[in-house]
Amino acid sequence: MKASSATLAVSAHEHWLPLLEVGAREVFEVMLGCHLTTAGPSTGESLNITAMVGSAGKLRGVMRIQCNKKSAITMASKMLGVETYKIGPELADAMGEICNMVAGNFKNTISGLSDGCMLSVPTVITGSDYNLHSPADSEILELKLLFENMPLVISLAIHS
Amino acid sequence: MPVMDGLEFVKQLSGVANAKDVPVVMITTEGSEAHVVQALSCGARGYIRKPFTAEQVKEHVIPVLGVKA
Repeated sequence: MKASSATLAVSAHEHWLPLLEVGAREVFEVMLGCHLTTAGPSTGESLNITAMVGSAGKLRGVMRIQCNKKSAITMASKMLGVETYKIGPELADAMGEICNMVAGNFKNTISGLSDGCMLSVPTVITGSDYNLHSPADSEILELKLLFENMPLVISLAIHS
Repeated sequence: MPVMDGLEFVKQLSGVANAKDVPVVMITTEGSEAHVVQALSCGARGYIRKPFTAEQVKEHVIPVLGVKA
């Protein structure tokens, strides 16, 4: 299966990319009532909110969602049904939950993963001045999308 | 969930005297049939997979509450 134009593939699991994209789009449509669109060329904008969920078992790796703060506030607002100015500590909870749902929805679409793959409690990082080091042999699946015209990067690091 | 997972929570809740009759509908990203069976056998009264719609919540919660939609 060929990846869509919204994807950047650097992995032997490239055929999982469309499934990751479908799973992510479904979460945003059902839970936030909005459609993700395909991203154009990167603007280099700082993505200073990162939500991560680890997986263990048949799939060992880390699912990561990155966006800017305005985008994260909008997501939390849509998910919780409250005005953006009322979003405070809920932002991290909402981002973690969205990442958890994307990871769960993805694993449930892969034959054999639903039963034998466990997800961690989400972690949310604010700020962009950090480096993420995965094992050297990790494969990376990455989707570059737009949420309300703001950049959204969803990636899955797969550890062999 | 931190501390314990949903299945463990439902098991422990069923052992609490003044809470054991509280109906629990699990909302989870776990999607396997085996997990559904396990949840129901632990005492959950319903099971909703994420992502979910408001209609799905009504469909599962209203029967548990024993009220008319």
